[in-house]
Order: sequence, then C-alpha cells, then structure tokens
Amino acid sequence: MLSSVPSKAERMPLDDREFRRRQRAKNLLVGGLLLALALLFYLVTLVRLGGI
Amino acid sequence: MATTAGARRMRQGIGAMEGGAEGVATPLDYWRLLKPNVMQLVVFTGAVGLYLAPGAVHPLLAFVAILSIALGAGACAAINNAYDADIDREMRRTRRRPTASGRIAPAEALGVGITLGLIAVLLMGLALNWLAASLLAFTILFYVLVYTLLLKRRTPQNIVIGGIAGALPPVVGWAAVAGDVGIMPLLLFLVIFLWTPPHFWSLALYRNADYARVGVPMLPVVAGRRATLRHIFAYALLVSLAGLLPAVIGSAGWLYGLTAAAAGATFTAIAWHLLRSDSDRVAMRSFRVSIVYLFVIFLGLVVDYAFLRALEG
Repeated sequence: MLSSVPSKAERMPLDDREFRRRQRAKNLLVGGLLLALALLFYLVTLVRLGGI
Repeated sequence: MATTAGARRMRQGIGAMEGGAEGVATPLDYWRLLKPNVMQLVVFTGAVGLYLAPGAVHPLLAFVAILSIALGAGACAAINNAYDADIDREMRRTRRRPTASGRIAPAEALGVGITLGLIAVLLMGLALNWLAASLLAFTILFYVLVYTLLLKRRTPQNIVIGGIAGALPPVVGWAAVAGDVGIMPLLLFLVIFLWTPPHFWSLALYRNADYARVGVPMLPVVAGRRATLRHIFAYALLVSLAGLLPAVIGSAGWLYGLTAAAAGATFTAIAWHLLRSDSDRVAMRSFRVSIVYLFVIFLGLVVDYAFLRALEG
C-alpha cells in the first residue's frame, strides 16, 4: 500500500544530541568541501601558470 | 506559468518541511540528493569524450573537467529533486529521496543545486576553456528550465527533447580538451540522444501506475502500452544503427565496429522480445540492457582508441 504518510521512524523527533551530531557533521562537511575547493582553485592556478 | 507553479510547489515543500520533517539531513542524504547513479553514467560518457578528443591536457585539469561535469550533473539532480518533491513523494520509486521524504527542504536542495551549478561552470571555464563551460551551462539550464520545468509534466515528448541535456556530456568533455566540437562528439551525442527514449520508456512501462497517479504524461500513460512498445523498438533499432556510425565513417576501428554491432543486436533483440511479449519483466530487462548497451558502446570506443594508438606506437 503506497502512502505519503511518513514511517514511524521518520515521525519520531530526533533527540537533542542526535540533532547536534548531525548539525555538526553537516558543518564539518561544508567546511571540508570549501577548503577542498580553495585548494583546487590554487592548484589549477599553479598549473595554468605552468608551475606544476 | 511553469515558474510560478514551481515556486508554489517549492513553498508547499518548505511548508511540509516546517510542519512535518524533523532533524537535520545526514551527509549521505546530500550525496543521494545528487542522484549518484545518474551521475555515474554522465561522468563516464563525459570522460570518454575527454579521452577521445585530440590534444592533451594536464592530468589535474582533466580531473577538474570530469569533476565539473559531475558537479553539473549533481546540480541538475538537486534542482530536479527540489522541483519534483511533490510528485516524488507519491511515487514508489522516488518516495525515499531526501526531498520527497522531507529530510532536505526543497528550498535547500535548490540552493545546493544552484551553488553546484555555478561552481561547475566557473571551474570548467577557469581551468579548461569557456566553450566547454558554456556547453556545460547550456546543459544545466536546458535540463532545469526546458526538461524539468517546461516539458516533464506537459508532454509525452518530455524525455525525447529533454534527452538533449543527457546527451551533451561527451561533447562537453571533448570541448574541454580540444577547444572545439568535431564530428565524433556529435556522433556520441546522437547515440545518447536516441538511446534515452527506449531507456526511460522501458522504465515507464513497469512504473506506469506511478506516473499515471501523479499525472506525468509518460508515453505509456498517454499513448498506451502498444504504442510505447513500438516506439521502444524503433528507437532501439535507430540507436543501434547510429552506434555503428563512428566505425562506418572511419573515426573508430573494426574492434569498435564489432562491439557496437553485437551490443546493438542485443539491444534490438530485447526490444523486439518486449514488443512481442508486452511484459513488465521484459521491460525491466530492457531497461537494464539499455544501461549495459551504453556502457559497452563507450567502453568499446575507449578500448578501440587505445588499441589503435598502441598499434601506431
């Protein structure tokens, strides 16, 4: 039976600790990706200038 | 009109998020938002275009070109997920998607998609060239504006015309290295363009009830199963013939020609079997065979090209 009602697990509110853990994981992910992007732009610049 | 309706759907999605969904999405949810399965095929075909192109680029720049194509595909997927959250929620195949299940709000998915799209185009332009970047931008905009917003919910030709976006990655990959667009990438474009309809119509055949329920006018919903089966066979035959063209015009060797002939014969045979049997089980097989067909064709080109180069060397 197809239903758009969320499952029981989806309806259960996350406890505060789990919420903070996921928020922290998300922040770390975004921070890591931004750092990787900055490094990539730096390396691309070096290659384009013929430094590598 | 479509944009206004889209904005309304987005707001409804956000409302659902505020009212019903709890918690923060996990990193895995963001990964799934980018439809990694679709991304695989896009990256693969783009990388083949890049490999076959004349000329050479620094390995880091080749990596950046492939990364840009992947980010572009991810951008398309995220924006598509944002816009289609309402219908994805009602379909068995898509109801677990992060936006459909409420783990990521449609507005957030839209933000992720736009950000990734901008980064992809900027990276491609700065690292490779602006022709490839323009083609990538066109691909993303075509997928979002023409396919997702304009065609998908309006016409059974949605995936035929929308297939243009999915067929462009090898052209982008080629342009990234060569700085132009030759006959070979256009043949690769033609192969993927003709491959897309039988691939998605096979899926739509055994997911027909889902599409009918949410009102997406896929061909089986609008024209019926028999017409769809005939179209699948016709397109499978056409793509199999188009797949031979690189060998016919001399852009690829006999090794590729044999591979394309065998793969095309297999794909056409399963489409014929589907036409005769009209069975969901065979439709599922046809869907899977179509994926294998595309992988084999493109892999065949790579192997053939490497083989010819080894002979010359």
